[in-house]
Amino acid sequence: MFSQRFLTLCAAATTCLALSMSAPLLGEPAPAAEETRDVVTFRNGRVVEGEILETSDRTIKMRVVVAGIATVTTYDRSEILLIEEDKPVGGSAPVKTAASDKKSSASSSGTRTEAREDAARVYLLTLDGQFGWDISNGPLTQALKDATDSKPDVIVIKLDATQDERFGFDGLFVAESMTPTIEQLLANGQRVVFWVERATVGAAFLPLSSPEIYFTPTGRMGGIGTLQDFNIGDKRVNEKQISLRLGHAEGIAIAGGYAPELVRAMGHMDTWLSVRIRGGKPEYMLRAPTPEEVADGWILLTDDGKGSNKDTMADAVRERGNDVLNLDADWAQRLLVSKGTAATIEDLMFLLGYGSNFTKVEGRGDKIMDDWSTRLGQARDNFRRLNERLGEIGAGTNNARDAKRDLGERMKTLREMRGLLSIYSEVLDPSGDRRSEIDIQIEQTRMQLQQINEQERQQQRR
Amino acid sequence: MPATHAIRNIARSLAVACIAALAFAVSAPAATVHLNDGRVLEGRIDREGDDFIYLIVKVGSIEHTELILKSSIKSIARDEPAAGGDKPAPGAKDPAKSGEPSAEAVRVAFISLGEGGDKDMVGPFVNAGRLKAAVDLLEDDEPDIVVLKIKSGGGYVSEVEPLSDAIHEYIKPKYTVVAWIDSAISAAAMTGLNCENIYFMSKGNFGAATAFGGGPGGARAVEGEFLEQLLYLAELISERGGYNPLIMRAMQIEQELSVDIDSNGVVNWRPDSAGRYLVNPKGKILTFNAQDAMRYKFADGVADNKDQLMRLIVGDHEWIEVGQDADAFAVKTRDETFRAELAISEIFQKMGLAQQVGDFAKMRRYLGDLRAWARRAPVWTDYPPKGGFPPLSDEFFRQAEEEIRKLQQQDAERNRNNRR
Repeated sequence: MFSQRFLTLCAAATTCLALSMSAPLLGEPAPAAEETRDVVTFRNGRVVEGEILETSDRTIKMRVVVAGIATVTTYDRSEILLIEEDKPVGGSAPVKTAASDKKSSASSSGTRTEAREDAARVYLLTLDGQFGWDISNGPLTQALKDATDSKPDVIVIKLDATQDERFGFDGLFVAESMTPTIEQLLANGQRVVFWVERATVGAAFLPLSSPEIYFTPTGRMGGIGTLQDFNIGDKRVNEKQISLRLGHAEGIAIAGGYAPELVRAMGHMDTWLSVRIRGGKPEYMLRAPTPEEVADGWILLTDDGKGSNKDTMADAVRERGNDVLNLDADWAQRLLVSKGTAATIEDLMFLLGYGSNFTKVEGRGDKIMDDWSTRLGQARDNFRRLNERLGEIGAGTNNARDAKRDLGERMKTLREMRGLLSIYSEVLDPSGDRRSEIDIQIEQTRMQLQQINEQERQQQRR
Repeated sequence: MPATHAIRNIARSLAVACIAALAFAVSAPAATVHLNDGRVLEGRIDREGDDFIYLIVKVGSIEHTELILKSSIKSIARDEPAAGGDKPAPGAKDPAKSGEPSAEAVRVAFISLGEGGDKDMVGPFVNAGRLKAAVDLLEDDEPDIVVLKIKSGGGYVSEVEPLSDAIHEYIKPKYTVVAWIDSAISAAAMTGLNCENIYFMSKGNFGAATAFGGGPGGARAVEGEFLEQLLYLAELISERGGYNPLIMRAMQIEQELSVDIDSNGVVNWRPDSAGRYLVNPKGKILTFNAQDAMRYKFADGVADNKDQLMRLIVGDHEWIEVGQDADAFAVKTRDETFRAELAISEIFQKMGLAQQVGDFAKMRRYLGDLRAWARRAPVWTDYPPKGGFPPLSDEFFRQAEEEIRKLQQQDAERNRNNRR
C-alpha cells in the first residue's frame, strides 16, 4: 500500500514537473521551416512527434506536447515501427499520420483551423448514462452502423457510463451483448477507439473489446469487485459460477489485447496482484512481493482484503484502497490498458497519430442514443401509468355490463403494456418473462369475459 | 499428452498433392519487405492501400499482422503479383468466384453447437441426436475435417455421455473432428473434451464443469456416488480426447493442479501446487482462457475466424468449406426448439388458468396442443421447458389425463352436492 501510494505521488510529481517545463509547444505558432522534430511511428499506426531525450536498447524516452502541455513519456521499442529524428517541420512540411502523409494546416492547441481535403475523418460517438439502459445493444448497433456508413478513419467512442451497483461483476453479461458489435467492426478493419471518462460496473468491460483505449485525465474504470460476494448456493457451486464469469471476462480482455490478470484483480477481492514495469511493459505476479522483490521494483497492486488487509473506510472513500483494482488514468496507462490520456478530442486525435488535420464526421449516432434514452424513459413512465390504471380498473363494478366494460379496458391496457415491453424488450424484458406474465393476464381476462358472456346467454335462454 | 495428430497427418498426406494445386490457388502473395531502417520482413501481404500494407508475419507457429507505412518501405519483393485487387482471396475458395476448387483441397465442415441467445443449453439445444442428424447430412459432401464450433454455457449432465458417444463412436470414425471454442462451460466443456484437437477463439473459455442441482437454500453441487460417477465419466472422456484427467477433474471439483514443462516443452500435470506453474489453486474451480489453454498446451491454437483456424490446421494447403446444409440444419432445429419452448410454456400457463376456472374442456384442448408440440419438437419429451414445467413424456400425458379426469369428477360431485 505504501509503495503504491508513493508511486502515485511520484507520478503526480512527474506531471507537475513536466507542466512546469518550458518545452517547445506544438500549440505555439507554426515553427520556422528549419525547426525539426523527432517522429516516432508505432506498429499500430499511431505517430508521435516531439523530442527524444534518451534511448536504450529497449526503450526511448521522449518529450511530447499535447494541447500545449509537455509530458515526458517512455515507449517500448518493441511497439515502435520507425523512428525519424530531426525531421524538418514548417508550414508546408508534412506531418505523418497513421494512414497517410496528411498535411497539417492547423496548430494542435485545440483551436483548429480548416482541415484539408485529405484530413482524417473521425466519428465521435458519446455513450453516457446508465449501462444496459441508456446504453443498450440495439441503439448502439444502429449508431455504429451510422458511423461505418460514413466511412470514418476512426470511430471514437467516448464512454461515461455506469450501472446499478447491484449488477456488480454480472454487468459483464450486459457488456457481452454489445462486444460482438465492436468485434465485428474491428474484424472488418474499422479502427475503434474507446475514450474513457467513466466505465464502471458492466461498462468497465466494454472498452476492453477494443485494442485501443484512452482515458480522460479524470477517467475511471472498475467497480466490478464483487465476485467474492457471489452466493447462489454452496461453496463449490459459487466457485464454479465465479470461475466461468472470470473465464468470460478474461476472454474479452485477451481478445482486446489486455492482461487477464487485471480482470481477475478488478473482479475478485481474493486476488493478490503485483506488478513491475520492465522495458515499459508490466509483468504480473499473483502474490505479494517479498522485500527483495519490492527492492527490485515489484509493486503490490491488490491484496486479499482480509483481516488487516481490508481497506479502511478512509482509503475506500478516497479511492486509494487496494482490495480490488480500479484504474485511474495514471495506472491505466502504466498497466498499458490506456494508451494515453487526452482531455479534448483534439488531444486525442493528436495521440492517435492524426496530428491536427482531421474533420469530425457529422453523424446521427449521438441522436440515436439520445432518442433511445428519451423514448425508453417515456416507455417506462407509460408502463407505470398503465400499471396504475390496471390497478384501478374494475373497482366497484356490480353488473355484467360494467364488468364487461372493465374487462375490455383491462384487456386493452394489458395489450398496451405488452406492446411497450416488446418494443423495448432488450432492456425492459430481455428474458420475455414479463410478457409471458402479461399473456397469462390477458388470457385470464379473456376467460372472465367468456364466462360473463356465457352467463348472459344462459340468462337469455331462461 | 497422447493426442492423436490426425489433422497434421492429413496435412502431410496432402502436401505433395497440393503442390500442383497451390500453383493455381489464389492466395495472399508472399512478399519480402525491405524497410528504410534496414530491417527485412518476410510474410504475406494481407491488405494493401495507397499508403500502407498489412503484412502477415509468422514467428514460430504464431502469426500476427503488422501495419507498415509505405513511406517507411524501401522496396517490396513480391513472389507473385497481387491478383484481383487489394484483398487476396482467403484460403477457402469460393467456387462461384474462382471456379471449381482443386480436388486436393481439404474439405472442411463447420457445425455449430450452440449460439447464445437462450439457444445453447446442452440437452434440448445441443444433443447427440441433433448432432448425428447434422453429421448425416455431410455424407455427400465428404469432408475431411468436421469442426464443432462450441458456444454453450452447459446444460444437462444426462446428455454428456450421449454426446461423447456421438462424437467418439459416430463422427470420429468417419471424419477428423476438431473443437473450436467460443465458450464451452460445464457440459459443453465435457463435450469439447472428446476432440483430440481443440482450438480456442481469443475470447474463448473452457471449464467450470461442476454439476449441481437446485434445492432448499440454493444450488447444491452433486455429491456422493453421483459425483463419483461424473468424475469417472470425465476420466473416460479425457481418455477419449487424449487429455490428462486431472484437467477436467479441476474443472469439476476443487482439485489443485499445477504443471512442470520440461526443456522439450512436454507438460507434466501434477495434482498439487508444487509444479512450476500453478494452474488451479486450492479451493478453486478451473476455467481455461485462451492464453492459459495455449500456455499449458491444452489448446492447439487460437483463431478468431475460419481462415485463421484453417491456416493453423492445414497451413498453406488449399481448403474448402463444405456441408453448409448441416450447420443450417443445426441452426434451424435450435430455432424451432426455442420457439417450441416458448409456445409450450405458454400453453402450460393457460392450462393452469383453465384449471382455476374449472374449464376442463379447455384443459383437454391445451393438452392436445401440448401433444402436437411433443410430436413437432420431440426434444421436449426428454427435457423440461423453462418455467418449471415437466417434459412432455408419455408418462406426463398419462398423468395429466388422469388428473383432469379426477378434477372433473370432483367438480361434478361438488355440483351434485350443491344441487342437493
